[in-house]
Amino acid sequence: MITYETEQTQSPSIDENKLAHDAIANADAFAELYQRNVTRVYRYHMAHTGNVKDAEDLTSQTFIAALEGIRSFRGSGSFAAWIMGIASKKRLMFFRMSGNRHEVELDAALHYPGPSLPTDKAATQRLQLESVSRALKQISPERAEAIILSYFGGLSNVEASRVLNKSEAAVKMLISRGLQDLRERTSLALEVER
Amino acid sequence: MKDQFTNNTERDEIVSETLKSVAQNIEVNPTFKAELEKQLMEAHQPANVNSIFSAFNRAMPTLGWIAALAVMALVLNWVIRSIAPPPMPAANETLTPSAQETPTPIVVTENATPIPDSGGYDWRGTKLYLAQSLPESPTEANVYLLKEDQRATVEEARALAQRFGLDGEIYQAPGQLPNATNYFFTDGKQSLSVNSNPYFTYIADMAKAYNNTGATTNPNAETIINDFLQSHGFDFPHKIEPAELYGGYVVEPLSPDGFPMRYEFFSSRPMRVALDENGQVLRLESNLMDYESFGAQPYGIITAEEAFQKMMDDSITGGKIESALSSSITGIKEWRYAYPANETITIYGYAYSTPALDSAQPAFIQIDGYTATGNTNGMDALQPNTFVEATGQFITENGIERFNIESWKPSEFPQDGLVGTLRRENGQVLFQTEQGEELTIQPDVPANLPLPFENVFVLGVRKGDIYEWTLIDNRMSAGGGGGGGGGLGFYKLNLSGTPVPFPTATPIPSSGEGNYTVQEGDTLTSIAQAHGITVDQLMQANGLNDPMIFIDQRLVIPGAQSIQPAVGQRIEGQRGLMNITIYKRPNGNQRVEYILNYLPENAPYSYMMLLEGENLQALQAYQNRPVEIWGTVDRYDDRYAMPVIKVERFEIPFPDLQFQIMRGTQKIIRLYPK
Repeated sequence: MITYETEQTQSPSIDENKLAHDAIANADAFAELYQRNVTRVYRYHMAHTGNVKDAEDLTSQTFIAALEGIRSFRGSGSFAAWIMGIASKKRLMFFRMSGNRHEVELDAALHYPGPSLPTDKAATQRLQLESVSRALKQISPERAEAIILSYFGGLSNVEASRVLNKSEAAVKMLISRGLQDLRERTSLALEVER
Repeated sequence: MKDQFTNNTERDEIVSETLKSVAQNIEVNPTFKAELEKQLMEAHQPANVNSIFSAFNRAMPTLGWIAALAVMALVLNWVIRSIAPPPMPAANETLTPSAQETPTPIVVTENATPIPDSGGYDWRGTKLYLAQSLPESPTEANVYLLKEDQRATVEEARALAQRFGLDGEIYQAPGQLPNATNYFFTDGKQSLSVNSNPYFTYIADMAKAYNNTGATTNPNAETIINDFLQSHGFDFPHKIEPAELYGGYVVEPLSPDGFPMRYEFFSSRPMRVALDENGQVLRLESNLMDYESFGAQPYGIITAEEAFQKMMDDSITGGKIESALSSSITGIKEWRYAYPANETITIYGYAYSTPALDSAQPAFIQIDGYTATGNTNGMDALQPNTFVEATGQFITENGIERFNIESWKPSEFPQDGLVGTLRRENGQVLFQTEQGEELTIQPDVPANLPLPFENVFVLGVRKGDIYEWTLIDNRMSAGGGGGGGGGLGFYKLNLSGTPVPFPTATPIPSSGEGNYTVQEGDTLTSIAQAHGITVDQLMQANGLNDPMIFIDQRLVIPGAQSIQPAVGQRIEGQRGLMNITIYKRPNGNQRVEYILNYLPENAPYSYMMLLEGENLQALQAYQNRPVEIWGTVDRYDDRYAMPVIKVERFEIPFPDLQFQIMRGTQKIIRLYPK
């Protein structure tokens, strides 16, 4: 069967659990954890918000909360799953408090996806992210979240299952159905074929 | 609609690959990363956790916009985007039109008869006729202010739980932040997780909801949901609709004047309800809002006829969003293994422990959503969702089924989900995996499972050649739901009072061909950006095979085919839409960001430029409206990935432009040619 897993399925969790323990008293240990996890947190927020500004704000908020709550990390799960749990809560609060800006970004009004992409690479990437971010908003939030945790947050299915409070199998299911939805209901598969 | 090009699995992989590559291309801005790290280090004060926030704010004002303030910015942003001028107060708002008459959904007829002799709308070469006339436009629209959510107190949470017949021990909902409490109530079957009074999740049957990712439809859904709401004391004006995209149903709150409460782009905060196959409410997620009236004003409303004309006019590109949507996935059928009651069996599942608010009380333990009691010793110390093997009995008391554990241990077999073919042979159910392996299925499958069953998904535990199943579904063969087809959703009309060419692209003159001498600190990227070309173009024009360049090296700058302007270039009367965001801080300071969204000639997408300059404040009245600017490209901003324009002056090309406020209800309709 096909498994949809990212390349970073194995987090060095034992190592990070020790770091997390040390981080309570030791700022350098926290810095190390930050270095190791900032990209996943940022990518996660980028996938949800689709813009740098909000993603940076949410990344800051996530790590502030992590710093504040590092004592409560019991080392029972992986640190990556724990920090992504915080990221997920921060994101929910953000969307909720900002009036559930759940739908398409305003700027999308002018971004008609077309068959040809501009030559500029950075612009292409930005547009791809935009179309992915928009496509993810068209499928059920739960499936989108599973996909984002896995692909952007770089979590393994087990780790994502902890964040989502679901079984590992349910996560697999969410991801596989989500990919199916993306294929069927959005033009993602067509848009990005090279 | 069947896909004719490639099979679905391959397409899933394309989607999967795309997601991977998009994700991996996202890199954190190094400046931001370093700054945040520095500030986190400074805020690292283990001795006094409470001081972290103040320390953080002191140390890093630019990142001090914690949740509430970020929200404020967005709110202001929204306000200006939607109805400026005049500027509105800073608060969440939602718009509903005034109560002039009952809204009539616009329905486009798909019936061939009768064809009217005249009228009709040209739409992409097809004549479309309205099945009924357009409604009268209201003279005024009501605006409501959304009040901020207050976290529920224990007493409020308990009162809410009692409406669902839940009482007893209060647990801390899983996965919460250290300083936030979600109250969790359960009787072993139902559960309620309360964040605030309008924001909570109720589950009628945790075990059933555990693996249920879809939702069933029911012809009596409206009655069922209405009865449920009424019997649980939810008395607010609402309407119930199937959630076309997400499955299940949406209970949408209505304003006092009887209209759906909407934000921009028709987003709302409803209740979502999932029903089970027996027509019972399985899950209710509430995300309602608390609001107060802000008053009615005309806000420059135009007629429905005018609005509809604009929607049908394909030459108007701005302010109209279409999406191809297909109806929600239907037809996924699931078979779950019904564990026998009152006999000793061994089950495999994920153990999950929810701690009690009162730490002296035992935690609430579940295995795959089933409440677990008995010998659960040590389960509260497991990491969440540990896959365990537990021996015991399912017993039912007072209508609540639970698994009474005699012994348990972490499972030596992992849970596995496989796709393949199920068939019966000599009384045995066999499963052939996609790789051709043959497994024996245990226990026997339900009688109503059609065999042989190709492309089936099974979930369970694999022990060598034996596969113990817990769930079977047809997801791989079902769920087409007319994928690829589907209706068109017109999400937003954002229309002007005067027909205008909107926006007209003004080409940015190309920077022209030339030479450049490499200086210290230059990179191919910086040179390319400065000339508005891509690195690839630059390398190609100079026959470079690797990105190494040297000081004093002469580079040929190819004629810019780029749509991005080069640094130093003049911008003459560039027309675009203004996009203004105001960030407010608690101390009253604010920062305003001016972005011009413009469509370069022949470009398939719009581009953005950041505007800087004196007297830009006057632009704040033109949020989301066309303006023209004159100035010079000062530099590229890496953080925004856009050029920064020093603006000398600007003009408002359509000073009398007016906006329409949406009226009535949104419906996904299908447009068929005659």
